Amino acid sequence: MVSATTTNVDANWIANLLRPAYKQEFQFVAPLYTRGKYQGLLARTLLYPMSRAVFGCRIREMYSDEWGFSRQLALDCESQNVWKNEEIRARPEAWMAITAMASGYKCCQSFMGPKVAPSGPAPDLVEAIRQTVGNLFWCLEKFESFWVGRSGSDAITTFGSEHDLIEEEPPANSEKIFDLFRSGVEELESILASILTPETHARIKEIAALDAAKFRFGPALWVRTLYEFAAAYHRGVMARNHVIQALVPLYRGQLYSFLLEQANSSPEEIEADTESLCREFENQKPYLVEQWKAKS
Amino acid sequence: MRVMIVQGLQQAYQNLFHMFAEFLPRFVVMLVIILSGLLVAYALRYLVRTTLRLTKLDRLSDEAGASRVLRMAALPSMTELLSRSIFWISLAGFILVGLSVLNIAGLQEQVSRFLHLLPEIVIAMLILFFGLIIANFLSRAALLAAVNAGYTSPKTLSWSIRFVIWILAITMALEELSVARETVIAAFSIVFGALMLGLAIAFGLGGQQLARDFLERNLGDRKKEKTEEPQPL
Repeated sequence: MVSATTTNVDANWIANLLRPAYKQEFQFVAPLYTRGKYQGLLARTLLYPMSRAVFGCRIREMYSDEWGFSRQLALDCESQNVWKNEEIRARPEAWMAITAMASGYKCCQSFMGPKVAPSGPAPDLVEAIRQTVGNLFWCLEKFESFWVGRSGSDAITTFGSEHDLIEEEPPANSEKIFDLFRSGVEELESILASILTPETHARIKEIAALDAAKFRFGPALWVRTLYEFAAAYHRGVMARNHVIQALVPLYRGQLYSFLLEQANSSPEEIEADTESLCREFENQKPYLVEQWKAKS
Repeated sequence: MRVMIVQGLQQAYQNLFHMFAEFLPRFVVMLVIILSGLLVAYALRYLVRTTLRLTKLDRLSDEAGASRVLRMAALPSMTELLSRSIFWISLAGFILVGLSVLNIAGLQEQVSRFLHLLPEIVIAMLILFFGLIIANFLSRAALLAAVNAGYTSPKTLSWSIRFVIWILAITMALEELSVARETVIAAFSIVFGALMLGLAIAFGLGGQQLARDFLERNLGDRKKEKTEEPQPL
């Protein structure tokens, strides 16, 4: 599967996506790209670490526009009566990946090289979070019996480089991101109070009051926040779409924290930090299970 | 004289006996109606509670934020509230029917007026209930959208939406009950029109800069705004 908006697809991409499924009997092939330092941060700080900790499989680009799959997995997925769900229609690739993991199919990742972003306006952050995080939380419910008892994560076969980060200019006017985080925490106080535990909510309000230069959204707090959001989504404390949208300001806080901390970091240091965040997600997984099972 | 007194007493005794003879069967009928009503009300409460639990109304109510409002007002869950309302409304209906059997002057007319109004009261309650749910849902959706888009004063927008829907629901409920129909419609038109005009004037004159920012943000160069955040995926 290749996105119509990707402009630099070549024959190698097709070969890299098809060969593992055709020659080596892998059922699901995820892509890996060369990324700019600040590109794909939603995937690097939320989707990858959380899906890895929850489902126990280290697929980095589960939410990408290109992926490969075997006939058997396609038939399996096609026979399931889920295609009318908005969450699946928006991001079918992640659901196929998780279906492959849960069914014990072999998954791998294959390096594609750099991906040129499509011309035109950049994708809207709110919409991206609505689609991807909405899909991830939905899959958490759907595959509950698969992940609740699991711990740790397994590496999967990778063809080519596992990660390739390149330097790029930091986004301009990043203070605006912090302002949006701060105003979101203030304006959505009552909504956040019904999603988060009082301790987590108090800690978020505490960091929102910090000076922009000293701001830090620590990994432990970030993981705890996400797990509480997932549990709130599961319990249906309010319309699920609203739970997801309430995460946007907090993600902006995390994003700003990343921009501050990693401004002078090398790609290797950033990679080490991503690995450390993944381990934090794995270590705190019992907390997710506890929150998930509370009042369910 | 003595005979007259005895006759008078006999007459009074006979009248009293006659009244009791006439009243007692009606009283028994009233008790039977009320007891039957009690049984019917219990059965209805059980039926409504079971149906609402099956349809997961409480979850819908949680999602729409109505449960929170109920908790704030120290009221039970939505399922419990509706099933109890059905119980008391049907029991009250049976009690009134029972009382009407007693043939007490004036009471019958009041009972018939109440019974006539009962369906409208239920409909008005439903209008208020759904108005509350819709107002909470839409105001929260507006608040989230405004906060995420970075608009100033998102709470004002959210409360305006909530307020307008409440006013609309209350007006519709009063209209259903035929309470001062013309006054209510006129009052609604005045309040709603004044509110909108006030907002337009406040936005256009009091907040010229805000109006300019808002229009620029929505109708101006959108690409420029979006470059502030790195590509998420």
